[in-house]
Amino acid sequence: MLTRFNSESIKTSCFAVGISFGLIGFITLISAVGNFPDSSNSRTQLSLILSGLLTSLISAGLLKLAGKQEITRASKIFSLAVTSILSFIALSSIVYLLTGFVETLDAAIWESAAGITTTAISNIEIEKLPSSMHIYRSVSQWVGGLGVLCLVFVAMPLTVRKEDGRDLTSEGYASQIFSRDPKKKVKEFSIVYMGLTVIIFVAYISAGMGTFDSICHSLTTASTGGFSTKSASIGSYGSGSIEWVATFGMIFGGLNLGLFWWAWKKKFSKIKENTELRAYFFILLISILAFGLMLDRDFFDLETIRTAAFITASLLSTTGFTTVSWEFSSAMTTIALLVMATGAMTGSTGGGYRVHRVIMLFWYLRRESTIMHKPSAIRVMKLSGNKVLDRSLEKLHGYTAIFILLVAVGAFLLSLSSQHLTLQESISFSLSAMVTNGPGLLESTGVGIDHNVVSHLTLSALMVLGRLSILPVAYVVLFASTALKGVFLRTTEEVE
Amino acid sequence: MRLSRAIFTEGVYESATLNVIGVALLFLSPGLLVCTLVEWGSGSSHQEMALLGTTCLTLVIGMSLRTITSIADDSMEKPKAVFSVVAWSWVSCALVGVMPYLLGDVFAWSHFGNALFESISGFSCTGSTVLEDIESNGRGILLWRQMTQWYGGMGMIVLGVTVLPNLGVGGLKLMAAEAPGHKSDKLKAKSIDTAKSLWVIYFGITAVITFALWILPNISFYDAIAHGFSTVATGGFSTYNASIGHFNSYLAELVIVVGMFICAMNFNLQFIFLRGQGENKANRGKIKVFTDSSEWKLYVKITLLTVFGVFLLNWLLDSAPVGIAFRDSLFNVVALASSTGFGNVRPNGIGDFVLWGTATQLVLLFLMAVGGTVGSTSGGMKVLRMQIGLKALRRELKKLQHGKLVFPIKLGKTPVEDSIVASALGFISLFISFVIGGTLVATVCGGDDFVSSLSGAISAMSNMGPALGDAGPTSNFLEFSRIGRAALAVLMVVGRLEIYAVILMFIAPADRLKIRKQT
Repeated sequence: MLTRFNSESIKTSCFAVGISFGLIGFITLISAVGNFPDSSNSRTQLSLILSGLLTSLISAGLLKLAGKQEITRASKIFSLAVTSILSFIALSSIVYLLTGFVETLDAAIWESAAGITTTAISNIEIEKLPSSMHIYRSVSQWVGGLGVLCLVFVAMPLTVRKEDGRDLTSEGYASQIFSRDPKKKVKEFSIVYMGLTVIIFVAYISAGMGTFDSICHSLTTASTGGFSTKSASIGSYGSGSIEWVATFGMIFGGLNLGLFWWAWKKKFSKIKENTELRAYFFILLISILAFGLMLDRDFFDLETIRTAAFITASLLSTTGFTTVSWEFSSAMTTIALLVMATGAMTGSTGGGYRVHRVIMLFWYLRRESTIMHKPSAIRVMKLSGNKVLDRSLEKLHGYTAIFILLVAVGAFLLSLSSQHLTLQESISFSLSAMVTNGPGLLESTGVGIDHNVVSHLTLSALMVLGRLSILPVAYVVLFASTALKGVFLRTTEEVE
Repeated sequence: MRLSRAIFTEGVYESATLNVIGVALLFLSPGLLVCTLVEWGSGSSHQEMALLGTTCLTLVIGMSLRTITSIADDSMEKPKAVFSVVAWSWVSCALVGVMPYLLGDVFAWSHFGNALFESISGFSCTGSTVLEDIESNGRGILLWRQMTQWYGGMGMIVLGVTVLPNLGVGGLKLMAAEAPGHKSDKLKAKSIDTAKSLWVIYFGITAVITFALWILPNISFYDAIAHGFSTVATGGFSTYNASIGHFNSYLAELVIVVGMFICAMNFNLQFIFLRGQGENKANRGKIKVFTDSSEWKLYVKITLLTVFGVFLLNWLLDSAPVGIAFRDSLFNVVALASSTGFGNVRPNGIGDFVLWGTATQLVLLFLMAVGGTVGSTSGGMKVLRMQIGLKALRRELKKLQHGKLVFPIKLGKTPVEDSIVASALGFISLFISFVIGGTLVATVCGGDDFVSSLSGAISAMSNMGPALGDAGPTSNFLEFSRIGRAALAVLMVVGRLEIYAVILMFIAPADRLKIRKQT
């Protein structure tokens, strides 16, 4: 067994788990500080402080044990990503259980997964949470967003084989935008991410939201997370200006962060030629128009446009903030599901199928039609000036198929676990979790999902799969199954 | 003037498309004549003139097109020309198929769209209907409705292949475009023999199913042949409102289940099993022919596993009696897996799958999308493409694990070319795109219910028949808005012609129908 799980694998695992411990330590200590003036929740505060100190110590130990890690291979990156996120969820679940706001392990896993995967789904009575837990949840989502950026901008470029050619689109054009040195790259996009968070915070304050709520909401808006300090989300403020801030915040959150870097560097021509950006805004505008017309209100009323823009931004950026109940007509449901499935741009913290894949699929159809019509024609597909490789198309079709398959399997398991769930609801809840949005689209007679072990674990699995863009998880599962098969075969041979 | 081959091959104008449309229409006329006689003989209603009128119309148009047009030697060399001929012939047959419904007052002229929907549904072997009361129509009209599916089953073009020696070119290409599957040149070297062989098998299976139904109690010869047509074509039209549920017979259901299951299997394999010649002679009559096919094995596995799974879900979760749960699960799963879409709703049964649990309905949606095997009359994405798709996904994961190694995709022991893998994956993506497009049109433009629209779009693309939601087995497609029905009719054609032909059909329509004078 040790030949499969050799010392290098153990060190990598230690490194991944160490990072998770470190993050949990960081988040819990910050949260405990956030609760400092309030002494009414001593159990929460004590749990957070103890968890923070303990996990920080363990993290330091594990990282020392792991030593310096050379991360160059795809397999290592994927193992690292999956181990980190799973260990984070495990540790965060313990924190939730210790604080006493969640009673069962599956519910704790669900809440933790929603946090780190930036999904706005929760079953906690939000209004009863102390401020420390609000900070904990918001920072979890913000850290989750940062993790996604690391995965796209730093890890993904390392997984590409030289003979396959560079897939710049999937990497969020990282090599064209940021420095080549990974450390510098992390620093650069972290600055952009923090800058965006600060701008949103200032905007929220200016719009009349309180300081504490502004901190929490700016963290979950920039990360397209969607957790709120109110059970009615942004709608609870009843403020048009706050809704506009949230709308623009979500729209910017769904953009490739590299575009902000380009804007900072005044490379406006690069921004202009970005096909994905144009498609993102095209989808955004069309959806706002469609929702505006279907909302059954006066289209030219500013409130209608604001509501339509808010819903679209929340769905497209996969944030999941709400101002109105997501109980739509059939036409709006179809558009909402499509927008939700499309998701944000690559290189953003948003989830979903991603805009660049939609463009590639559309162009693929066009190319195939041309080739049928003129078999000798050679039609090169380009995206933002970069040639789309055949290998990328192969991956695209595979991704499409597995994306739909996972949503279908998720819907199946959810409908098994929740007797009253309708077909539309099961599909929408499954899709919403998969794209890391959160809320499902309810039918007028719907009651939503039943909260039980199966539904919690199904949604958690979908959120993790969606957040990691499927492949890393699939790789680790395949690796584990191969390893276990090897162990099993060896054991059988030994017995014989 | 003596009718000679020259009349049909030396027309004044050159147009392969129009010439083959003429052939297709001529082939419809014997069927129409039979239906006229049945209508006249049964005296159930007075729609024989409608059928006779259509018979004359098809003969006149068909003969005219064949007389005035000819096919240039090189006109069928280009794939676009082949696809164009297939697609336009389909459209022409569907348009002519409308006439008996309109002339016989089955639909008013103001409801031309409904008549066209019914005709397209027939020729595409879908089986979705917009008839509110099927049984109120004459026997001849209903037989015509069944016959449209039978014609559509193997396709007008396969029938057309039998006259392609007259045309001289393109037979095998047409086969490849119309009846996807193992390369048709493996079946037999000559296109005429290929078409005849498939015709014999098709005819034989129809006869066997008809006979098996006929010997059962309470099933007339008319009912037997009408349902035989529909079963072999995996169509799903019935002459009764309650479909197969009308007979309330376990044996009839069993015969049809076996028929549907067989007809969703590759006809090439069936040909080798029954009449294998040359290098396949040794395999004639051996079950090995099927068991060697990885697609067939997967098709059987999917069907059996789904029957078992749906039975368990119906029995355990929905508390249906065990016997009824098994009977209705078996029938409906095979009906959907084969893309036939017959219903078996009857008193004391649970055949109305719209009332099944959500989880079970999701399984049915999956089955609808997958469909049967390639080279059969069934629709859907086809098991082979799913198989290639799954293997491609597995290869992707293996590549991540062992980046430098090469992993060929194999079906059985045969490696699959990368271009075929790409084509299969691309088809799946296109299929999904069309389903999304259809759902979007039905819900947004037509205001139809989401679940009905989504399942209706999948059903139409897979040439299935019934859908979920409001368009289940006890209902009809009048539940959809006019725009919704139009979108679904388009999807039926797109699904039947395997997408690409339809795309090509509209890329350069002028080129397709251009008639140029011979020099």
